[in-house]
Amino acid sequence: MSPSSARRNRIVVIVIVVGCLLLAALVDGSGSTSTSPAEQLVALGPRLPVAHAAATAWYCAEGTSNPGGRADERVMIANVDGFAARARVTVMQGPSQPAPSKTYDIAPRSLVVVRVADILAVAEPGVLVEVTGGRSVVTHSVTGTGDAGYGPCARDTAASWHFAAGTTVKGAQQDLALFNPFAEDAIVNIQFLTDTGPLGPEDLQGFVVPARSRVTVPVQDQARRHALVATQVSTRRGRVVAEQSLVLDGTDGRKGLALSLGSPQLARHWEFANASVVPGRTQVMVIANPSSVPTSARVRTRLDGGALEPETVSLPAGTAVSVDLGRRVPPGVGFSVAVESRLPVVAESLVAVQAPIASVQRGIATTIGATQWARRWVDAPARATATSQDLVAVLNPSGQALTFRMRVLTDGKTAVPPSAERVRLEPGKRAVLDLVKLGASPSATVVVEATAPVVVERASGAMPGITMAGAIPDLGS
Amino acid sequence: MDTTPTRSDGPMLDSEPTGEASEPVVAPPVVAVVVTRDPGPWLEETLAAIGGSDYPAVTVLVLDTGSTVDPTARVASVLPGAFVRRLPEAAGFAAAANDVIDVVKGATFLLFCHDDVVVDPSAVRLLVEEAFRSNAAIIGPKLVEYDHPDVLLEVGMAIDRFGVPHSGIEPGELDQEQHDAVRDVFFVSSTAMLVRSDLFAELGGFDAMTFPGAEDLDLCWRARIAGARVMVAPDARARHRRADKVHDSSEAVSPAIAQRSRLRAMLKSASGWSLAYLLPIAVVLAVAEVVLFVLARRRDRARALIGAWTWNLRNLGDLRRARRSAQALRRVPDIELRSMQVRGSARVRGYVAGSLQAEDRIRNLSERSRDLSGNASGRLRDPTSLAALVFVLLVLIGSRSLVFGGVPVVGQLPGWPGVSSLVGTFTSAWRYAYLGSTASAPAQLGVFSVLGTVLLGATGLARTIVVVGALPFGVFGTWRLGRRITGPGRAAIVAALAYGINPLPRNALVAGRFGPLVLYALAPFIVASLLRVGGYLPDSAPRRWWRAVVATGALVALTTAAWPPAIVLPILIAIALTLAQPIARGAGALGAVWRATLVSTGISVVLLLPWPLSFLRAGDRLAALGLAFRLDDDFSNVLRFQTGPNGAGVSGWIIAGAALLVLVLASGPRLVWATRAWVLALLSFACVWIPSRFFPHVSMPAVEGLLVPAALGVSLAVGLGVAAFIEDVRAFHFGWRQVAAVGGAIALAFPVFAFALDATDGRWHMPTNDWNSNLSWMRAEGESGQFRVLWLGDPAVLPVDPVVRGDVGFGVTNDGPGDVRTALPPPAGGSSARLGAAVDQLRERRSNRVGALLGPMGVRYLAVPERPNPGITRSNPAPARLLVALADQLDLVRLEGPPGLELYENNAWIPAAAALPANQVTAESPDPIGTLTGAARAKPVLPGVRVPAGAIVWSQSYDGAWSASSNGTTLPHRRAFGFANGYTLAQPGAVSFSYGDQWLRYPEVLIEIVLVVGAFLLWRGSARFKWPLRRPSDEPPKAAQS
Repeated sequence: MSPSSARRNRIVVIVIVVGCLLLAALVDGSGSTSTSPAEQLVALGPRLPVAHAAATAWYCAEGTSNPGGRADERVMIANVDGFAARARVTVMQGPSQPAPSKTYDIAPRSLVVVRVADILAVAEPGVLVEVTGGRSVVTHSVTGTGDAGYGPCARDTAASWHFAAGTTVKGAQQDLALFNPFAEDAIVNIQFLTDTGPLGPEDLQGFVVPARSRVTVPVQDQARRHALVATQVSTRRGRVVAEQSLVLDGTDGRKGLALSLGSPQLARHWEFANASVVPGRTQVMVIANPSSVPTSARVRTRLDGGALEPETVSLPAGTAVSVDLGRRVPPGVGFSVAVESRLPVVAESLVAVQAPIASVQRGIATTIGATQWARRWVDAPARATATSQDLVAVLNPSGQALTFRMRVLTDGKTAVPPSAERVRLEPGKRAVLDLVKLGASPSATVVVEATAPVVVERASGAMPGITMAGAIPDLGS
Repeated sequence: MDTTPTRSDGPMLDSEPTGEASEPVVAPPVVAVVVTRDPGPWLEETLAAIGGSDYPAVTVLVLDTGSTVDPTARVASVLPGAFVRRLPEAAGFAAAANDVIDVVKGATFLLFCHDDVVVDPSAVRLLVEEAFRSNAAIIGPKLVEYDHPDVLLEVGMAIDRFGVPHSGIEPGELDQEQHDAVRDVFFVSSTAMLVRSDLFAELGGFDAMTFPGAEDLDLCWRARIAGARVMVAPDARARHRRADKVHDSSEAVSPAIAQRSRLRAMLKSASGWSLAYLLPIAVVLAVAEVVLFVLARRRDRARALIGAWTWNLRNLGDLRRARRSAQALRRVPDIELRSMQVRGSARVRGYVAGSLQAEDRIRNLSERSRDLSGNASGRLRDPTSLAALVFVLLVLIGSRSLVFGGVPVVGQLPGWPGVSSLVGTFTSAWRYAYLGSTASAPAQLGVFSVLGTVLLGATGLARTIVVVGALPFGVFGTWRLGRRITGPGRAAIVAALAYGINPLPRNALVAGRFGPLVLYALAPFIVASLLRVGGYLPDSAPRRWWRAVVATGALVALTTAAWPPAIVLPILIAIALTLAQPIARGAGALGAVWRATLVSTGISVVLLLPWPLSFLRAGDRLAALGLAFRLDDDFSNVLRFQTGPNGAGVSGWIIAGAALLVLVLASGPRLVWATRAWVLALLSFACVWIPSRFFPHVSMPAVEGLLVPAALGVSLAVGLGVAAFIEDVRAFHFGWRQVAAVGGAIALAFPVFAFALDATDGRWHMPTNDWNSNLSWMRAEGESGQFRVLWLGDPAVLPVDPVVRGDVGFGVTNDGPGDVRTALPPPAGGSSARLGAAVDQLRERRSNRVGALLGPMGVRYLAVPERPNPGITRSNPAPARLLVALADQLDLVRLEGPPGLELYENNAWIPAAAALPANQVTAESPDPIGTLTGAARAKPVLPGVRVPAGAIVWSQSYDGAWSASSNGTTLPHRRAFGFANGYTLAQPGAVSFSYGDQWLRYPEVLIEIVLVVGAFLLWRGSARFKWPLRRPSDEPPKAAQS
């Protein structure tokens, strides 16, 4: 080999080897082009099951089924698929007690209502609903004090639960229901964030929720006479479902029953699709900051006919703060609300309807905000009762216009009301659909499908009483 | 011939003590039975010794079996009171000895003696005393050599499962009272044996057809199963002339006859259950031995083996009668005799022990040691040799805890069970891994079986040797390869050291990557072999091409058995040579390499048959091919081989940098080789980096294995750099090259230092404990029925060969943490897919009743490790989604697991073999929300335990060849739970399962053995040629010269 060719060979080899190494180093340092292996979001909260789910469990914590119980409970199972579903409803009453169950067949696109007392009459029922077959959602209702509360049952147990709204003023009864469906005891710590700071009653630290049982904690006995009591539940061991009911006896003018399923996670952004203020109806936003550092939240009120300047609220550490939404909103104007905070918080709205509004429409209702947006939402039952006035509010929280349609599923049939076939929503705007006018029956299920993610809430009045709750999103997981 | 026993001086035999009638008889009478035929001059001494016994009640009966000269006079001359009975000529020892049943009355004991045994004066008394003290029915003395009484011959005997005796005494072992404990033994030799006369009569005496060779074994075996004790009393001593061996070899027992006698003894005395599994194994072993003997041209031994079987077949009728009468006496099950049987093969033990103890070998060894030590001081003056010595010391220091404390169970480094379990699994037609399948057992189980057998059943030691030895073995291989590439001397040693200090094998140890470790050890040999066949190395041997290719294929097969992706190593090497060809024009024959690559790869596949056929059905279960890991290594980690905690950040760069230096230092052939080495390394780096970077969700082999070719290439490049420094740099004027070379050499001290640091803990950062010890309590749960453990989590930390679904890996072990029997999962398909489907439902959170789905599969525990081992702090938590899904399961109860492990118990589990109410077992998959009472009411099916009538579920994949029987009837077979075997049990009873297609597996195993032995013999032939006994330093490599 001649010296020149040897030199040429050497250079070629060096260029190839070093070039390959440098190229790899450059590509490596230029940022990943592949899908990030970062942790996928673990979806929590009620949501439509994925297709082909083998068995989906729903947990309904609050309610009673004994005669004369404080909150008589019914469970509604709505099958939104085109094929049948089967549900087993089990009522748990304690670790060593039998847990009777009944199985129900649910026809395609239909809804079954189960009175828990028909399975087992007990003061502390923990209701487990397991569904196979068609994709179904499970909600429940509790009635008492001339009012009723409707809301979704939980899809998951969780290690922490957060509530914002609550009060233990005179005449208030706030019951925290903790349901442990598992075969081992759960141990929880319960803390209350009040308007004056956090409370951690000793009795509620290391509180045992026995296996396969539901226990109720009367909050008013632990945090007496606080205008705001935001409940925070965290488990030391095991996982539970936490749901809360609030009963006001009218001592302060508000009277009724509200039901709310806790949020298993805190968030920086909360959306509320349905709000309005009229004489006799008040709506406050309660924001709780469970962290140990103060923060602030911005409350954006989006009026149906315009917008208001966002309001900034200071949130001291470990406290709950309420914002009267009607303070700046003209009466009779509907609106949506967004709560955005620097640190994760929990936000819940509390509505009270009293005189001069007709007594059949009086009551109280609480709603935890939505933290996730979806293109598809399910609301079941579409109407609370045959006489109730039921609304569905659809909010477009994004920056782009979208359209949505509403399908009404009734006894195996699907109907799309002409006025709900293609509804356009501008960015930040909402639409409120009157289900009575759309001809939905009490056994109907409403499905909202949008071209972009939306937030859907339902509200019912004149049941008698009022109730509000978020619909159930299809998050695809 | 008059066969009436007469005193040698006239009267009839009287078994009563010979003392005067008026004296009280205090000692139980003993009749010493001496069987003789044409006795040598030693007979008198034998008789005199018995006559001189201090035991007061010994009567001597000499049974003469057709001596040409009547020995009565000789007997009378020594023991006038002895009896002599002459028998027909044809009678052998056993038949003759049986004569005492009829002619001896009133004796408590019979002392059978060969005519060349000299018992000590106290021997008979000691034997009788011990027989009474220990209630022994048969008892024997310690036997020592006649001429050298300090040399032991026998102190009781054990046997293996096949009836082959094992004395535990090494040849020439001195008697230092080390075996002098009185103890139970399996049998004592008929050389001198005290037998209770009533038992002897009940047993019907010796079996004449087991003589010679196993009459004593047979008698003791039958006594054992009849519940009698067989003991040795070493205080009683007898000197044995071994006249048959020493004086007249024609009298010695031929191996063929001994073999057939032992086989008859086993066939008679082993229980039916034992025979059910012993017989097939014995047949396979015998066939394998025959093949080996034929190949080794020992046709006489092969004939003897065949003869042993055919003789027993010819005498089948008699054998059946003898077996019936032997089994009629059975009071003790075989399992209680196991403690007196040795594991593995006594024949192999004997061979190895004999080989190791051979005096000439020892002498040879010591002479070589002296030579070595004589040369050592001279060699140590060379700094490279000193470095090699330091390296060896560091390896010893770094591995000390693993050598003495054992290698923990981590990752794909499971424990090895005993040889019988390994052989059983390897030869089984049914794989019990996962939910069971008909897929062939991985070839590695056969390799492990051989290793365990070679080490006399010490499988744990075999595992330690393989794992710990990988590092030095790989270094040795690199040195050999380096000698031919870089030239002999320092460069080769440096190349080997660079390979040794690479953190890759240490990190493979920590992560428990068994396959990559084996690849690390064997890759240099494979590369060398392939290069040689391709004509790239100076000692290439084209004349022996076929043999060399077979050898390469065998090496690849061995590596592939441990790590399936290794099958592509030759192809990778060939690609590297092809890519480097434009630079290395004319050097080596590319066509020859490709031809050798393809042929050797094909040979390796053939050698592993039928296991590779399983891969044809691998489907989506890439784990069956070892593709089970998601790579996420960035380029700097890849280049530095930083795959684990071992190795220091800077040192990795230095190795790579030193390897780069060769490109500027070397010239000529060294540059050519450096190019090849670097192309190989770049290909290997690319195999890791490209998937990490662009396909992170694609299952790949373990990174530690993928980087082995890179480690080898880089090491060779470093060695070539040293060679270039020594040879080529001289040609240049002093300048930056010299400075860079010296700098590179100095910088190499850093990785050496890192290597030394890693060595300090004595275990290369491997943890001190493992999941096996933390979860050992699970093994005690077997009383509740057979169960499975489902391991879930990051594939990188699972202590199994994982199957990957999405971002979750899973694997199954049986009845606890598991061992190597469940390694390398069987291919997908059939019912095992259901397990994956259940895991899918779990990870996708599609069910809260996954426990109910897994229950019929016998999955009792779900284990989710977040680290490879409890002793490792590095954490790879399972996907949060999986943990949430597990926590949401209604049938799972979380248990307190060891740190780093989330452990759940499945409340809905059903024992893998279970009896259930008939209405609880469905043909299809269980309803996920169906009633769970079945799980609560399941009763485990345990061997020999009655279960109630109803449905029986055997949760192995449904296969028509499975059958269950109870009360002597075969149960109706059907499908249960959609995947398992179900049976209907009409009446309560014990249930047993059997697999009917087992006979299909034995020919497969036989073919495997024949193929491997054939390859071995071919390799031996080629090895003699390929590795000429010359010092490489005598002649510079031709490739380097070219």
